[in-house]
Amino acid sequence: CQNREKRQRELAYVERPVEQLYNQAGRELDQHDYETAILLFNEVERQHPYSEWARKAMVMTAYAHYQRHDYDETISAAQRYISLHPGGSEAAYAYYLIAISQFEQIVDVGRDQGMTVQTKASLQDVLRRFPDSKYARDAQVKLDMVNDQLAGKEMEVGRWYLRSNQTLAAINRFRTVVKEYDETSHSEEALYRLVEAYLSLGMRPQATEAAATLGYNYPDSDWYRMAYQLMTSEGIMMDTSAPKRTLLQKLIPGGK
Amino acid sequence: CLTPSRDYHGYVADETQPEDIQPGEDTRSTVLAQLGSPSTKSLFDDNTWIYMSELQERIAFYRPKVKTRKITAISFGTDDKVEEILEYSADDGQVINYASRETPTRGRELGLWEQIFGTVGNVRLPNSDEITPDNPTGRRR
Amino acid sequence: QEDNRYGGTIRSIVVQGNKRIEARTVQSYLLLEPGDTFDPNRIDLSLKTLFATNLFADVSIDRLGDDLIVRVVENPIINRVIFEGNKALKEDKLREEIQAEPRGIFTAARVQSDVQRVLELYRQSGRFAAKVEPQYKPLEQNRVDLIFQITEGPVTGVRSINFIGNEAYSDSRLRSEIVTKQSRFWRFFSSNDNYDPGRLEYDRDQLRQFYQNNGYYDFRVTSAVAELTPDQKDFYITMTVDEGRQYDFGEVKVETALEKLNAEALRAAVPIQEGALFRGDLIESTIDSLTYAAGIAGYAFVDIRPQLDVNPETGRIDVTFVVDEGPRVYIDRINIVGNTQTLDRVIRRELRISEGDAFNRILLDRSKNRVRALGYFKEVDIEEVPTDEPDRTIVNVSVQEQPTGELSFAAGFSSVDSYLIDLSASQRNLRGRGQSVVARVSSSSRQQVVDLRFTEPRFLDRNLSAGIDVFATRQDFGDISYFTSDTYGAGVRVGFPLTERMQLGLSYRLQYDDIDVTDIPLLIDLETGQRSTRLIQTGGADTPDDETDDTFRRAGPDDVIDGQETVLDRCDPTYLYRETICRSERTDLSSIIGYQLYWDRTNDPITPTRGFDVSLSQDLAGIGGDVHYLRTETRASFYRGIWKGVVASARLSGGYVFPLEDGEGIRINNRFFRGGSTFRGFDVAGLGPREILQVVDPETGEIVATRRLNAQGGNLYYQGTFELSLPNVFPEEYGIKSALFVDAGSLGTLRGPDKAPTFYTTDPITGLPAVQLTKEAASLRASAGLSVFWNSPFGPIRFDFSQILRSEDYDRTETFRFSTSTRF
Repeated sequence: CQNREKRQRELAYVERPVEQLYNQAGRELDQHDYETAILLFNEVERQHPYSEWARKAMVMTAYAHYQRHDYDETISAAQRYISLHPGGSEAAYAYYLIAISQFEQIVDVGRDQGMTVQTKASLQDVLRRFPDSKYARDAQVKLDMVNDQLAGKEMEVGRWYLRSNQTLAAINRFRTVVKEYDETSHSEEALYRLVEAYLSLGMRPQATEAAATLGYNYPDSDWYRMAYQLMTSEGIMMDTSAPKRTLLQKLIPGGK
Repeated sequence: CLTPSRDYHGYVADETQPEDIQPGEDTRSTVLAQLGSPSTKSLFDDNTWIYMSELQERIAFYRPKVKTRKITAISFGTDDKVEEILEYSADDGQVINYASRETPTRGRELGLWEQIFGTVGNVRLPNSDEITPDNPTGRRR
Repeated sequence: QEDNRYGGTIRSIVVQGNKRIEARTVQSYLLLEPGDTFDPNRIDLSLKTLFATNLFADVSIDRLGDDLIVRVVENPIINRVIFEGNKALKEDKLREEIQAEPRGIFTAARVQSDVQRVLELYRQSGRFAAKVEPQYKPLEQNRVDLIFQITEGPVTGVRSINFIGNEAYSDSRLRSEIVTKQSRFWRFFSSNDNYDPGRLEYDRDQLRQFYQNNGYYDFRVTSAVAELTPDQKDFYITMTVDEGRQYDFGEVKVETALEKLNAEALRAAVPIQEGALFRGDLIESTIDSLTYAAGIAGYAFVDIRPQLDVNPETGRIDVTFVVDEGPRVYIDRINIVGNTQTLDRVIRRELRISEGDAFNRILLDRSKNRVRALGYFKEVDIEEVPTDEPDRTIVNVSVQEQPTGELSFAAGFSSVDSYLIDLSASQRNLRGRGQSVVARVSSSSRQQVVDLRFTEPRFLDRNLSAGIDVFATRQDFGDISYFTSDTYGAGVRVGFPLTERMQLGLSYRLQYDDIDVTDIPLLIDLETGQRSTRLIQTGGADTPDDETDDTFRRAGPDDVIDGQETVLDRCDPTYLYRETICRSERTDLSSIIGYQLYWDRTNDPITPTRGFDVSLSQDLAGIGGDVHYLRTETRASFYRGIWKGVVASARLSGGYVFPLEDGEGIRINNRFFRGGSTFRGFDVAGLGPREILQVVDPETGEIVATRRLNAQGGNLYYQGTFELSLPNVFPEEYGIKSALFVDAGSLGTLRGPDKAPTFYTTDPITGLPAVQLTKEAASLRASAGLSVFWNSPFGPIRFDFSQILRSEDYDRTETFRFSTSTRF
């Protein structure tokens, strides 16, 4: 395969008008021959650094790396574009490429969520800098998924503490989910686990508060049904007219 | 001879115990000064401060058993004064069997091959066989 | 004129001189827009931000009428980065260090910092005379090639290290304390003999610690100077020290304001005796033990400060430990970081603290040791991160994973086996769940082994490890004991802690053994029923000088058989004089339950330097199955660190097996076998009871030769091993350790029915009459020697060089053994 590489390099070094070079790179890209596309885009940058093509080529290199699932290369190419053309027309796409490259490397909740935290920061970057770009919508969807993943990690640890008789540690973990990740799919289960934890300590007022909030915000969820059964089996009457505490109330400052 | 190993968890009282707090007199700041920050707070309005300390004993492979537990829930009125103090001890505890159902999460699971061979560090020499009739597999004792 | 420059509002902003950078980008950095006033400091700030972007070599902002003119000169782009003249350091190592990269921006400041970085790299590898010349080759369209001209210069070593002002210790003694070494030819591997100022700083600290641990409290390194030798190739290092006088401990007191703690009880925990030589490290260990004592008395937050008052005249230092209330800090959260393979709970369950608990240094250290003992991580460290609330802190447990899987494959030939294939795979952290699995398949002409083991350390999420073993082996112990044995077995085992330091394991094993003695056809004389004594001359006629130069061999089954003889297998039931080994020829099922008790009082699970550990295990066979015995083994090891890197250890071990039904013997595969790596100096199963053949010269009646026959194993063994680990000569990174050892002990005693009767036969080789008897005396054997352990890239390897001190003439001894000890 030695000569294949050499052939590609010679192919690239022939001086050609930028438009032809760029379009040929685009064609290679469409045929999924990303390696050659990357070589050609680099050539565009090298031979015609000041042309608008050069700027576009830089982003296309990042895109080609992304297609090859070479996420580290994608991120470094995108970051080079941002450092050279912070206000460039493709800046939004470059930031977006960084975020989705990190997004692809998120691992399951059992392990270190370092990459998830980085992805959250990059997605927030995209949303803050380019709120109305065409990437904002997808970035928002991915941000919700990332928050869901972080909440999942809290729940994983919380459940482990609960099952290992460390009830106080579990309660604090579930509280974090309810307070900081209340829009994620885990807040229902977090409320239910709080009911379980407080009941196991015998703290009925707190259990009732959690169950009432669960009932009010997620009336038809399975978790509420299980909480209802648990509470009644412990002889605590769930009068559904109890003071409603909505999750949203919490958002209004001073909302009691 | 099985002496259980004892683990202290949660709040450690200083001179003033959580139950010495006087309703109606103490305020949020005096409680904070005397007891320090609470182990946890009520869910939404932070109006109830909970101090919880626990002594657990672990024997052999049994799950850690709660020997003593002291919970003090101090709730504050609108004037930030202590309104009510509730005490709980180990006997109030209930045995709850926790639901096994879990909300699903995403994230790339470690592929099977990646796990088996991902962490193969080095190729090693086979272990020298010191197989004797009483140790047919030559396993190191 | 000043004011009109800054009056009025900006009609428009014009950017000039930009080629690559879009005007819009430049404007986005300005803090002014059309319509603002010409505000001088906003203009100044815009100038600064534009420069800060590193995009521009020069920027100027002027006013032309109502327009703001922003003139920029762009920094060129780097086309290629070339290194010339680098031999010692490879190009990719240099490239990693510098910021400049192809298609990046070229700025003078960045090039200068890159030059410094490269120089620093060379300095660390000991080349102080290195020079780096950056050159730029401008290309068209504002691009430039960046070339680093490197002249590496010689490696500046350390010609000599000498000390001034040291009376108490010699120069060479002090040299052994510091890391920097004098350059010598045989130190070609180590880089410690290159001059490195950073390392010199570290050496000053090492010296201070060494002196303070030997009573020199006022010790100071007044200066550490490195002068270049005239030929600029090496450095002379001279360290002037001021030792001061040697101190002893004066009065040692403990003061505390906390009522629940009484000072006297705490004083007992202080390991310092009055009048003993002052030692700096004792102060540290006292603080630890006091913190521990206070922790037990329920004081989680304790702050212990030693107050030393030094009395130069009397040469004594009085120490008062003041114990008072430390800051009351709780653990808000525990984050596990860096676990790319291992699951969070596998680490979290090892911690002795959980969220919401009081911050306790002792429990934190113990937790760190427990995570380290898992063996999955290269490094484990625990750091505290403050939160915005003063009395709550976050604890980060950061781990660095290391490979926990091992794959070993071997194929080959050896003198013993005609062919050998061995494939074994082990994984100590399966699927990151902490489970361990071992699978080994090995086949050679002498044996086939299948050995599968699986262990779950936290069965049912409890502190209970559970494991399953399945094994099948076919052994041909031709050279050891002339029989082949097939074994199929499976076992289950559980283990749990009784206390923090004591573990109990229970196991059950079902094993099917089929032993048959290798068939040897014998020629039997029909009349006597004994082996025929007919001899056949095999060759070598009488020579003049030695008429006894005949070699005979006993008639065998394939020789011509006349009416008088017949052929029988040696273990054929009808052959009356068959050997006792044939008694072991049987198939039996053993159902064995057992327990293992392990008590660990060492100070470090991996490399103990103090304390002891004891293990006792007993296997009872007889609940069902045909075999009934009780087999007991025990082992106790004691460790004592003597000084830096030298640890003395003593290990006493013993075992005894006896049948539970009287009159019964102990099958050979249930007896003990010693030798090989268990008793250095002896071959595998080299010592202990053995059948031997003593060839007797008919005339003189003396024993001419003894032939070793098969090892029988023994029912009792005892052994003492004394080891002294030697300070490692090689630098740490090679992982080579060595130790002197003395092994002494014995293996002996066979039950009555297992002992073969003595009988007369003829020596098959010389044809002379011989006596076959069993030697089973448990006499003392001893050996001494040197063991070298090497943590090689192919797994731990051990070389044993041994010299026999005492042994029986019929034991099989060896002077060298190479064994790959595994950590399965």
